[in-house]
Amino acid sequence: MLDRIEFLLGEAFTALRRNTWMTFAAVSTVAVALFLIGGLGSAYLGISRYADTLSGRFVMRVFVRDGLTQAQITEVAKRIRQQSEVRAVQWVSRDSAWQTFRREYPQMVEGLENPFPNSYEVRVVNAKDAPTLAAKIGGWKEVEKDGVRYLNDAQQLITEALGLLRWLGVALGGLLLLTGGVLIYNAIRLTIVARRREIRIMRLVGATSFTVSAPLLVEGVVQGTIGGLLAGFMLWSAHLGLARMLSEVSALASLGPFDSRTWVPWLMLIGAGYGAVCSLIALRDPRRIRG
Amino acid sequence: MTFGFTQIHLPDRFIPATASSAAGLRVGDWGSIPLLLVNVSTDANLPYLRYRDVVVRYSELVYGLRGVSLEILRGEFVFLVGPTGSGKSTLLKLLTGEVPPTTGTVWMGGRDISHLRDSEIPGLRRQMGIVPQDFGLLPNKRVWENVGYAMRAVGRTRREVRRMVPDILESVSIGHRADAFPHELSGGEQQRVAIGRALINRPSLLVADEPTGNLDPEKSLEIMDLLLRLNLKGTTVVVATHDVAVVERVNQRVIRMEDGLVASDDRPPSPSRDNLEVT
Repeated sequence: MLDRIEFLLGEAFTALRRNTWMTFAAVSTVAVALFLIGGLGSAYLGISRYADTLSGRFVMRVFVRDGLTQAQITEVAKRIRQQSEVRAVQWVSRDSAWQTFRREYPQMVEGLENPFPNSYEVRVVNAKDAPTLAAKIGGWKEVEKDGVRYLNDAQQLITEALGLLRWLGVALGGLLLLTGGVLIYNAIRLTIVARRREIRIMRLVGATSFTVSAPLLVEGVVQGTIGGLLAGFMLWSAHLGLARMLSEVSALASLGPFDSRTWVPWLMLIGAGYGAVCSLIALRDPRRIRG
Repeated sequence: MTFGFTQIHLPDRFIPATASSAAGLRVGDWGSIPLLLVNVSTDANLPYLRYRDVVVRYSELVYGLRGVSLEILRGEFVFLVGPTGSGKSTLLKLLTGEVPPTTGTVWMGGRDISHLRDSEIPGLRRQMGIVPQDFGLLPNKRVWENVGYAMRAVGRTRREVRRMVPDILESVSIGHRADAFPHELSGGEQQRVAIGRALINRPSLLVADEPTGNLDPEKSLEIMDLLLRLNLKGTTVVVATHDVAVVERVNQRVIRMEDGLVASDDRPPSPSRDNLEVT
């Protein structure tokens, strides 16, 4: 058995040595593609996590119309609490709002009367649900027209950043991954051409399809795995550089540690799987490897 | 039909090779590889290879064979001759599984091999040795490595390669060039290596497509001598060739193909002992 494995691996590594430049091209492209996908994925996860932490601090203000009875005010509070997106509701009377404002901006309030309506301070479970909740509550007749305010800009920024990262990840990473795949496919096809004599001899003497195909499959897997390993190394380097840069800009800014034990094996595994798929596509027509 | 390990029946028409090549040769003597102890039908009268109404159509207008029926006995030596495109290579390709018949059937050793699945073809090819016209040697491997590589490809271990390769090379009289690269060999020597490689599975059938196509007359006769020796040990040999001179000097069955049909099938009138003298 070991003898057999040694023969098949020997065949695969001979092919890798012979196709040095094509191997280099395939490995480096897969590495860059996985680095981009990994890097953008990592950034996406980071911003998502940040957005989640924002949600706890995310406050929505709901202004109610003047002249509501106590029963109506209580009923509105009850209805707000019933919404699934809502974490907590707190009543803020127009007087307490005015007092808070006067305390924070004393120079701005001279000569003014209290302009604040009664309101509720609503904390949401997830910041991304704020727009939906605002639209819902804003339509109630007890609520003032345009009476729902929240940190729309920050929310918008985060949503856009996440969308952009997703788009970049899919477009750039996907494009590069496709290129890497084509290069792996080409490397396997070149191997088939370069080793046509060996393949022909194998066929002539009755070697099984497995014996003929296995080295080519191993070749693709090795290329993908090395690409994944390089991508992991590049990601680690990039993370290190970025963390150092951020620490120079601000003492408070931090990127968090790079989890190489998770990222590197996953990238290698993805690379290996991708290499195998590309090899199988190159081998899918048995006539191509008849030699 | 019963099968068993038994000594093969050699028909009368077998002729020994030249006195020099036959000298010292004993039936069943091929190093440690018992060529004659092959799994054979105990009924020697049953054909080993049988083509029945075989038509091979490559495209709408191009036919390989137009309806061929043939029988070849186990242990026979058969020449397939005819002009280019007459169908002789197609007859060989039907045996090796490279081409399926469009209609008709092909049998080998009592088994219908007309429409084998891709996964069954390696098994079929391990029952035969195939000698291509262009030798098909790996230029960057030495003679013994060429044979060893083929053995490794069919699952033999390094140990088996070390044990068997010298015997195989000796059996085709190329043992003394074991460490040479193909480009250091003459055409005849390269063909010997190709034949040696075809023997790694101890085949009961040897199929050769123009084995002397690239050789001068003297080397051609040497290769025929070698094939006859293998045939003498019980291997059925089917040779497609253009080489009229060789065919005329070797007193064996000749099937002449023309336009995808069998034009004639001539069996030798009597065995001759002196018709393959290499000068």
